[in-house]
Amino acid sequence: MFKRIYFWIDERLDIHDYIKKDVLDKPIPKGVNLSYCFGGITFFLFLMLAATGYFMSIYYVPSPLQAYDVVDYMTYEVSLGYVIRGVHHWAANLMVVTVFLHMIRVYIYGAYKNPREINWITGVLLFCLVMAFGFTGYLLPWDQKAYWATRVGTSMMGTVPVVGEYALKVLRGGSKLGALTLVRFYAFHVIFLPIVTVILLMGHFLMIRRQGISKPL
Amino acid sequence: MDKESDINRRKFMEIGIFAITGTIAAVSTTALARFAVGPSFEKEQVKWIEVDPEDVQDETDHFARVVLEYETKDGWVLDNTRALAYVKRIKENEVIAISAVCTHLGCIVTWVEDQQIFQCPCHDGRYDADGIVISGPPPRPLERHKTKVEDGKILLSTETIPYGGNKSV
Repeated sequence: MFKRIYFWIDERLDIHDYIKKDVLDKPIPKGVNLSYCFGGITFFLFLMLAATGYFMSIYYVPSPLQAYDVVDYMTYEVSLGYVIRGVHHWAANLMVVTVFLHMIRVYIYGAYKNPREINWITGVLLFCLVMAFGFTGYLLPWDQKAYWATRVGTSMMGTVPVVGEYALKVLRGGSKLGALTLVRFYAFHVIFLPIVTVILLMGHFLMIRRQGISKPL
Repeated sequence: MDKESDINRRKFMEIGIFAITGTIAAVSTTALARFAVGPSFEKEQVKWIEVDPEDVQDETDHFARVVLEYETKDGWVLDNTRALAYVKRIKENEVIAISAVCTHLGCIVTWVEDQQIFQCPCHDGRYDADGIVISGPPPRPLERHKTKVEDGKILLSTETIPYGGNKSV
């Protein structure tokens, strides 16, 4: 059955050769080792975060009056809630680790050098996005830890010379950390950042396809 | 080449990749679907509220006015529901409880003891002591609460109370 559907599609789009040549039998340089997997693992974690995140948005309410209760509810009362949120939590933590390992590998192997500088730049931007995801997502459960961590984190913005005071207010949506901060962090976490990330990821992957991975040392 | 070596290393890896990705996809989809369905099929929780037996004396023609107050949950939102019922003991171990909500437009009916009727203040709907419509606009008899008497405790079911109860009680 699946074969027939596959053949039907292949007959029209001619994808079989492409999948064979460019996905399953794609040649890679000799000597590639497991440390080359960190980028892929990061992408896998990104997909897990996207999937669990989408589904958590079925329950979450970005309001200071309800956020804590709703997170508690979706974790402990909805079936498998602790699994879904747990996966999101741990994937987010692991992602920071794998992004670092990926970067260290690229740095040590000198893979960022000509002609792959543009890919390194998109990579650094993606790293910043991971940090931004972490920072905005941390506030959403609206518990003590989230509140005070965000208070400290946003306060740092205020120490920037000249523009700091204004940047702090824009970040918080006013001088105090409250309802406005929570909604804008939520919007960034689930709408703005994901779109930018997907665009940069596409660039990241297309460039690696075009250039091939750099040869090991 | 014999038949067994048709599966070479390359083919084995290919099958392995599809098997692993397929398993991950299937497990995550199932878990996410269960999470998304969430409490959709959970039944509304029915509570049994205890009524002060002092209010409901021995078998008489008197209906006691009983305010039912209990906590309700709408997902993660907690709320208090209030409803009014008229309770009367008909046997030693049996009580009836009639909802005070008029079936016409939802006003709260009053028990008029000397005429043995329930009267609605809004459009003069009248019901007899069993809650059956005597006159006026109400389309249906008054709702009944399920009741039970256990160890002398009088319990009323919240089953027929609509979500939010009666705000005017």
